[in-house]
Amino acid sequence: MQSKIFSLILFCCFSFSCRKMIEVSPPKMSIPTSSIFTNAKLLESALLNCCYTLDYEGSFLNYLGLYVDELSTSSLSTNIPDYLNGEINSEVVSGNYTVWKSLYSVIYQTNLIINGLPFADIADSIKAGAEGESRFLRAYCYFYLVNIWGGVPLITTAEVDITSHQPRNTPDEIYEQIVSDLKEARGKLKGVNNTGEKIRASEYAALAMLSRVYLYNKRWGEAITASTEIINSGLFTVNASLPDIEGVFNSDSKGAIFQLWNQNGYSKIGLTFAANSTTSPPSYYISNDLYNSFEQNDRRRSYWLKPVIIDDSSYNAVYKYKLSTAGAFKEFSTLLRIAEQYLIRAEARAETGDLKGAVQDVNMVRERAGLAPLSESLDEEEVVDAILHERRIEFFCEGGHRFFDLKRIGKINAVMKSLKPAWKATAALFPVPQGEIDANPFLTQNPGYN
Amino acid sequence: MKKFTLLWAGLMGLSFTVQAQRPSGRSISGGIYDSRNGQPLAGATVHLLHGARGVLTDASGHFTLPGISPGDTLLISSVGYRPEKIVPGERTMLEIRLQPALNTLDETVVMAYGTTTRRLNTGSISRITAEEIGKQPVTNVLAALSGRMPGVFVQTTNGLPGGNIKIQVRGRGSIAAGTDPLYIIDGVPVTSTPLNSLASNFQNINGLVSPLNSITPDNIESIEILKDADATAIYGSRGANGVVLITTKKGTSGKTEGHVNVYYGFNKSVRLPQMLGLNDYLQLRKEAYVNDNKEPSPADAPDLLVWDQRHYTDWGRYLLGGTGRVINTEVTLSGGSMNTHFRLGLSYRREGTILPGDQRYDRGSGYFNLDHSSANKKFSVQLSSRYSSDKNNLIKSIDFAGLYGLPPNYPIYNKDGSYNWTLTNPVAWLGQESKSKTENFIANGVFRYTLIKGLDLKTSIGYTKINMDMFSSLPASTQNPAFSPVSSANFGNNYNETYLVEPQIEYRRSVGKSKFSVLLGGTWQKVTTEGYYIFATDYTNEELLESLAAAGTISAKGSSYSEYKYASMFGRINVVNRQKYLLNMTFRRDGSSKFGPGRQFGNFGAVGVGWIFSEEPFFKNRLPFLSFGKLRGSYGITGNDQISNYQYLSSYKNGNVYQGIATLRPSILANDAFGWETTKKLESALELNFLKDRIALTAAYFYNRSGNQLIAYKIPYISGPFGSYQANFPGVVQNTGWELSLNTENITGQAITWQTSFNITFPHNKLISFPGLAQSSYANTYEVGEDLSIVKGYRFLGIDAGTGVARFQDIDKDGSLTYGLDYVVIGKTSPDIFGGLQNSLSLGSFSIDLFFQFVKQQSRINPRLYSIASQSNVLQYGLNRWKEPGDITNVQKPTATYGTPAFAAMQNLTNSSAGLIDGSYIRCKNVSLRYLISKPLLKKLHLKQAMIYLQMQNIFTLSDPEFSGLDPETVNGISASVPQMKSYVLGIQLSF
Repeated sequence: MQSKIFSLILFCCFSFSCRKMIEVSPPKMSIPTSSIFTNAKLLESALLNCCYTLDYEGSFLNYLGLYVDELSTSSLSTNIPDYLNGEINSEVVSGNYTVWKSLYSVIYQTNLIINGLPFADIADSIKAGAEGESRFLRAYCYFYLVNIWGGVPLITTAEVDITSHQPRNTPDEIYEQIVSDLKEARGKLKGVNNTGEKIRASEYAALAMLSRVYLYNKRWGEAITASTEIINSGLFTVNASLPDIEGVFNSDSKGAIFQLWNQNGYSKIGLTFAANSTTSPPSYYISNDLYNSFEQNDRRRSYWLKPVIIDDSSYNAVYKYKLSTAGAFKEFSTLLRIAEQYLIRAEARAETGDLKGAVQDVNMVRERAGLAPLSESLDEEEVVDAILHERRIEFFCEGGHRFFDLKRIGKINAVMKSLKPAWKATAALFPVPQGEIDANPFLTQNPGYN
Repeated sequence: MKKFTLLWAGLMGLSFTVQAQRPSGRSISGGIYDSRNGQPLAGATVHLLHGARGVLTDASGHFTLPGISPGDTLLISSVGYRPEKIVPGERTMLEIRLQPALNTLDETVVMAYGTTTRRLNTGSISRITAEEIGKQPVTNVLAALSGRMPGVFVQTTNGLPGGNIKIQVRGRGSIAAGTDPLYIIDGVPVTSTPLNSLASNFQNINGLVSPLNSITPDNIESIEILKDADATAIYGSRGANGVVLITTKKGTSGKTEGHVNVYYGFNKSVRLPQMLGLNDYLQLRKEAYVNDNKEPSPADAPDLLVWDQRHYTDWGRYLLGGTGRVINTEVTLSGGSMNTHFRLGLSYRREGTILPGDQRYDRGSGYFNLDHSSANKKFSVQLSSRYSSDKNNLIKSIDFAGLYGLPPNYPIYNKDGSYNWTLTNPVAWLGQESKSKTENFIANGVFRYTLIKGLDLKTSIGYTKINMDMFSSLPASTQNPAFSPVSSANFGNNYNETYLVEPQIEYRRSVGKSKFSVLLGGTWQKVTTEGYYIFATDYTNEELLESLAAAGTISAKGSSYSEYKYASMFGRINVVNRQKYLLNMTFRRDGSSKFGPGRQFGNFGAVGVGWIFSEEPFFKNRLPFLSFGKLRGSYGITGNDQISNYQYLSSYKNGNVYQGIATLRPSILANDAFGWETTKKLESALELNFLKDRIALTAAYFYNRSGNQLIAYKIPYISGPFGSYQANFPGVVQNTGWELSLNTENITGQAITWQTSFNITFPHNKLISFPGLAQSSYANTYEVGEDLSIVKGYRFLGIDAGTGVARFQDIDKDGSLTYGLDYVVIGKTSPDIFGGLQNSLSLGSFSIDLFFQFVKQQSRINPRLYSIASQSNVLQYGLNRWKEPGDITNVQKPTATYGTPAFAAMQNLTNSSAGLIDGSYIRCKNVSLRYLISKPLLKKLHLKQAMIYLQMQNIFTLSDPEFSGLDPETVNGISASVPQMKSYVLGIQLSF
């Protein structure tokens, strides 16, 4: 009888404790997300992948340069003429959907980290650094999203049930998140990542983005404070000596505030603009309009452009990055640099009446370019125009500055219409990729693209 | 068989005591034989009609039953034979000959976790036995099922030995998840996923290799396919696509018996593609230049201007015209005492191919079965294990359509002796080896203990491991030197390992006129799959491709690992009231590690009812010709879980490098809220036997609806860099159909019997709903209200009689043809009707079987094989082409120049209804002739039994002439593959 009872019990145990019985070991090819938060090394690896993913400019700045008044092209490949004419549609993937995907991929990855950190079993200092870097990267991505597409969905969680049907937010809501992320980042990153290569976000990277955001939002006083803090840190210099202008994008650039590391020693963006062929015209070259905007003797015209002559025609290829194969030195994709901070402070000073201070700041950049300093007797409008001109030349084919500057000063339509007959006022925002609207019925299209 | 009879005696209503007390009266002994050929029948039962005593015959058909009074009546029965009643009178020695019966109602039918009979079964189960399998000289036992069972569609995707065979039970119910049935060998689930699917470089010319190839057909006792809810719901989340139960042969008691079966024969391709001969081809090419108004030049028409205009090669014959020799041997030894039985076996098969060169398939296997029960029968154990190893020594997959289409005068070598690579080079391709070696080990044990009368405790433990080693090579000398090729090789290994434990309790009891049987059980299963591959390149020495050390570079590598666990409990309550009213209820609670934490457990179940109305006095009296009539029905819920593991687990995987550190990137957009697909199955059936069971008719109607579809659900990229995740989707797929089978015993004489079996299925598949289809990634694949296998494309409007160019319908009337926008549903590829017809005739020692299989369907065919646009040959059907204005035909005029209207139309033809033809066929699938050596001769040879046989498989096929020699079974799909084999084998089978 005892054996009968024993067998019955054994049988019941077998049948009912199911939950434990179907626990499986994780796949050897991957690590459960929860493990990321128990091991500082794994956390860093996950964080570094956010930086890696951010390196999307090599397949974006070429399209953006065509879209505005910076580039011309010899290519007739898919979508290239669309960008050149300033009329892309919502089905366009290159330069539109690809960039959207990259930016939101970084946001997804940083959300995973930011939301997982409070429960992480890792030293507080490491957690703070990881949070700071993640918030900086998230803010950086939202800055580009809001400037390219307008009020996009503001996603701060990795919960797909919530995010997959999230509607749009207003640009103000997005900027509010950007500012709060950057302030948090600045606080968490105090004193870290300040030495060596600038390939990890530091407090100054956060401040640099913050001052840019303040500038865009006409918060002049805050812009001045932020940029001044960076300039006064003494860590970054716009050196007037000749080699420096060549080395702006080098891995040891003195002016770099934030760069993206690469394994090859040359950047993706350098590869995109490379003009190495001796038989066919470069894929992208500077528009006449931009070329003619350079002042005579501007060192940047000789150092940052590369004349190419094919079949008696002359082209000026973009040559800010020199390398498209491994060389004697290394170049990193440069996202933030000190010259921008001088020009931000200049503009904010000019807008608040400090014309002298503004001119001094602009002249820091002009001096390095080998140009005569601006006169301190210019009036406010002249100073602001001079600053915007300086920005056009200093940041051509870099960071989307030209497109965003034209938009924030309200000149985008006037400038574009004169160059592109097909330009419509709604073209100031890119179309939301159709695939996203198909997958998320709560997401609406930008005006002009339906 | 005997053991089963003992075990399940209670269930089958054949209860009698095996060992009686010492009775009074005489002892009767005798032998029981097959009426046709006098073969002894082992395991037949002899028992008193009014009483509870009986015995089983031994291996030589003998029995002794003591204590018989002169007035007693004996009932003699054996599975597969018509029972006989005998009054022995004063006789003490009996020789009884039983007549074989086709429609035996009490034959054991294997079902989920037990057995039943045709009489008392409430579910839909089709079966094929060792006898029918043994008549077919197939490599993969699944091929023997083709056309034999209603509702079961068997498709051979590649005719070479080792090729994959797909089984679809009652239609495809899933939009995106797998639709393979669950395969179970002696209670142990086995994988049916080809192991060489690890990486595409491991596809041999025979395509994906079915893991079930390693099961030796000789060793199979029966295969049952479970179809409806009543039969499959007990398999819960894995039962929706049907279940294939494979039962192996077991030992019997009696004298030790040896058994040898050897056959030898050859394979040919069922058909060879009928391409145009050289003259017709050259004529066609010249016509193309005339049509284009252009002069051929040596550069674009070497076939007309450079190559030999007289000698030619029939490339179809060159590739597929060979003969493959087959040798198959099997030796088994079986026997045992009353309490212990064993069966041991060894088998070996070698099969050459029809392809050129020395390519072959080898399989060796060994197995043993042992069962033992204690003297009081309270405890029993049954152990079985088998090991098999099979090797495919083949070449890599090739582009058949492209090779058939080579110009007939295409030279293999250039004048300087090097390979000619103008188009491609078929001979060079033969040097690209692709080998795979599969090892399969299966072991299982069943332990049973009878606690009290009627209450059994049982546990089965199973283990299987199937492992595949893969190698393929790409020597530089076999590639076009224009692309400066390097030698490379691929190495890989992939295995699948399963552990299984299934404890069960079964209780059987009779109360009044009802018999109850209750089963309760649990399952725990763990499956591990692990594999790796290495792609090596830059070899300097072509002779050393199999040596990794000789490789210059490892160009790619990868590995995979997954673990799957499964735990569930199940039960069944079966009630048989007055042998008339049947009730069968099954349930299962399943837990599967494939699903997220919240959705791991689910409930499944079914109810089956049956009414044997022929037992009612009303029918008995009024319809005396009706010997059996049963109305049955079932309804239940089953599931499908054929998706990958870990879809719920948020995880990171190896990413890139940043700052010199390896990064980790998210590997999946996890969803922890998805569960199985659910299929609700409804079936009703009528089973009728007439004229003392000589005619048996079964008609079944099924209505299945599959919902909760598991698909890659589109997710916006704002939610993460993946675009989709695994989720349930509210789409519904419906499968309905009629299944009819008719078995008749046309002649049942002592010396001559003739039996006919016919089955036919009318399946119907329909996508009932798919919310948001137009925006989904499936927009160009499916259409609501249509079959899942629909093909979309341009509607071909025939050939313009004036210009000879193909015309298509411009749906959106924008003046041009646009991918997608001008697409319509042009057909479907799932079958409309399929079935089979078997005739078996036996005349004394001689018997013959003839089996036809038929399918009504549409097939996709590569239109490149009809119409010409460059230097490529076409099928004979191309002779029907348009030649001059006014010709009414459906084959376009030839062209040779890019940019002509005919050239543009040629590309559209591929995606049009022109590529869809009537794919119906009738195939003489099997002819089997057997001759049993007569008894006197056997005595002289000291043999128990001997048989000589001739078997022929796939002898001829009738199909639409448009196929021009392509095989309608394997051509389905846009690319042609190796046709089915036509086999002729001669064999001998000996028992001693």
